Amino acid sequence: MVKSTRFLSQFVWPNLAAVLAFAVIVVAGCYITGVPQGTHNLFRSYYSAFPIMELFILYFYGFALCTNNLNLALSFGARRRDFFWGMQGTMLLYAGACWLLQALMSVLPQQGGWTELSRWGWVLGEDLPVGMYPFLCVLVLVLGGLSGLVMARSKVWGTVLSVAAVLLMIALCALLFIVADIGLWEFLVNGEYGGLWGNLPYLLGGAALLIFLVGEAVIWRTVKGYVVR
Amino acid sequence: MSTGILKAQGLCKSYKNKQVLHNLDLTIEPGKIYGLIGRNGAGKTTLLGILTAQNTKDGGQVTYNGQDVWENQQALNDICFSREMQSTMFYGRNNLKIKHYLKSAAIYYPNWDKDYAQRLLEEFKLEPQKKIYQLSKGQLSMVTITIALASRSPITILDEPAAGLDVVMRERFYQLLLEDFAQTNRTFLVSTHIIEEAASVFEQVIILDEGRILENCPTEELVDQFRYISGREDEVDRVCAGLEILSVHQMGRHKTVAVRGSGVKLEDARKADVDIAPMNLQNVFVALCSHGDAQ
Amino acid sequence: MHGTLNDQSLIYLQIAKMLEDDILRGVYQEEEQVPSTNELARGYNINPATAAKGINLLVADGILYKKRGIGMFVSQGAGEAVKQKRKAAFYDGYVKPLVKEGASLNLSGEELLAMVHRAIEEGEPL
Repeated sequence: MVKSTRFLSQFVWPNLAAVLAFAVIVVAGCYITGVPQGTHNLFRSYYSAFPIMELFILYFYGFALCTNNLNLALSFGARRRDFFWGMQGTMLLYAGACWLLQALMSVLPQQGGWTELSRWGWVLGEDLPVGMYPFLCVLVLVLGGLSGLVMARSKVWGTVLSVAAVLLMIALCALLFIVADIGLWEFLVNGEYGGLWGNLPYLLGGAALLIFLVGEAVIWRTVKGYVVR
Repeated sequence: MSTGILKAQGLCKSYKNKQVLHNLDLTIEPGKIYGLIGRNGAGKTTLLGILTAQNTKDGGQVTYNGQDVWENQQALNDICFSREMQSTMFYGRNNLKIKHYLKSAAIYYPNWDKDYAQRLLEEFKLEPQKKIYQLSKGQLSMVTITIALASRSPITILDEPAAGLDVVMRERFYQLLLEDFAQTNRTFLVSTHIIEEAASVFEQVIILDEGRILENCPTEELVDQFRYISGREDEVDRVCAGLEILSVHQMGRHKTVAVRGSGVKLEDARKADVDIAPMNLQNVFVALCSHGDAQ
Repeated sequence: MHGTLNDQSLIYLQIAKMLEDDILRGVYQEEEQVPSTNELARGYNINPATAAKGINLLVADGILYKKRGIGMFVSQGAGEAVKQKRKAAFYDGYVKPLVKEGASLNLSGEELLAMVHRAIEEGEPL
């Protein structure tokens, strides 16, 4: 497992550096275009959606973990179970780093005295239970990995799954923007079926956990029988 | 270093209802250079993949030192399987750099020799910063060879290492292989299409034909069993009566027959008015495996 | 494999023959060291095991001997030994084919012998 972790780290660091670079560009762009003073532009949108952007990027990193990285490691004689656990450690690393970054991004508007704090919504991470974000990171990594493994089996289904996943994430992004912007959530929770809507997060959370566990199980099984090409 | 014995017994493999390997038995003894030759689709890469636990099998067993190779750390440490490198990886170009491969090799191969790798890179004029998709076919082969040789693994398997190299570089490859072998006496298993050039390098040759091992014996011993007998057809027929005939070529009343026989039987042929010529490994291979494709 | 080797006969036999020829030509004197297995392998781009087989053949025939830790040396009287060995093979290797070829050309025994005499006169003094 040590070998596999070392192997993967040569890809992890550049990948994380890319995410960091992206963050730096967004932040710089915000300051340059006056977003803290209230400008609404693309940089502001990216900033407010940054946690989602990170998840987006992690999807592709997860994909690579279970395709290129997996194939290369095994071609050098890595043990499958060692690689699986090395992959787990790597996913935790990715999640941890992204969580840290998200935390920093959430603190900056408040500390930096940005205006209209109430309209920043999700990026501030206010409504999210602790640990939810890293869990989402890992979940997205697992989904990316699954897509990769499907792609390795069948280009057709793999492409379908990847495209669907990307569209879904974009749709979710947009939905979250809208919900935050128009205060839909508050409306629903305080309205007639408030109780039901209130339960939705728990249902979603439960479903997410289930998907995660099943996903990991599928990845384990597939990696165990993976054929190097 | 004490190398274990890599052994396959009763190996079977099928792809989509087509059986690719049939009940295959193979023992790789330490300290030899083996040549694995076979036509396209004979199952060479599949066999090598299964021997190295990189591919799954449908039946039989593969052991290293008596233990199953699958997920066997000892076996995986001692065996290096160097495949043909591809410019495209899954979807799109292979963006990895040569240095990634070198670093990965250093991580996974316990016997990795960094200095040797460096010398080879310099000789081949390969830049570690270059990406795989930027390399020519010849350079891809050179990377494969560098990793295989510098791995210093007790058992090193190379799949078509000379493909893509021009004849001068191929000669250099055989030289490097022999030099390393003279120094380390490690086990090499080289699968190749380019048979006659490499024949003098192989101590033992394994012929794989349609998923079965036809021959597995010392190269010169094998080649010595075969002859071309040619001359007038009735004389040739008489002489070949007790011999195994592999192919017949006739032009008018001139007949040339490729035969297999033991020393004694071939001696008898010498007395007749026919020409007897030796067959080299490539001739032998074509005679055994062409199944009528080569005339 | 390198230029001087061909695929007309087994490589180890060619190695043995080359060493024998060299001994006859005086390239290696008696008690002199001959190239090692590895040197031969390197020089001709062949497997060391093949080179070793060639050398072992000469050791078995008493033409070379091994000095432990040093290498292979030409035996005392190796030159004579090679000649004897070749004389024994001369009949099968040269005379019989000569006669067979002559027969296929319908040459008589006298014609053959006359040709042999002529070759002796034209050639090097025996």
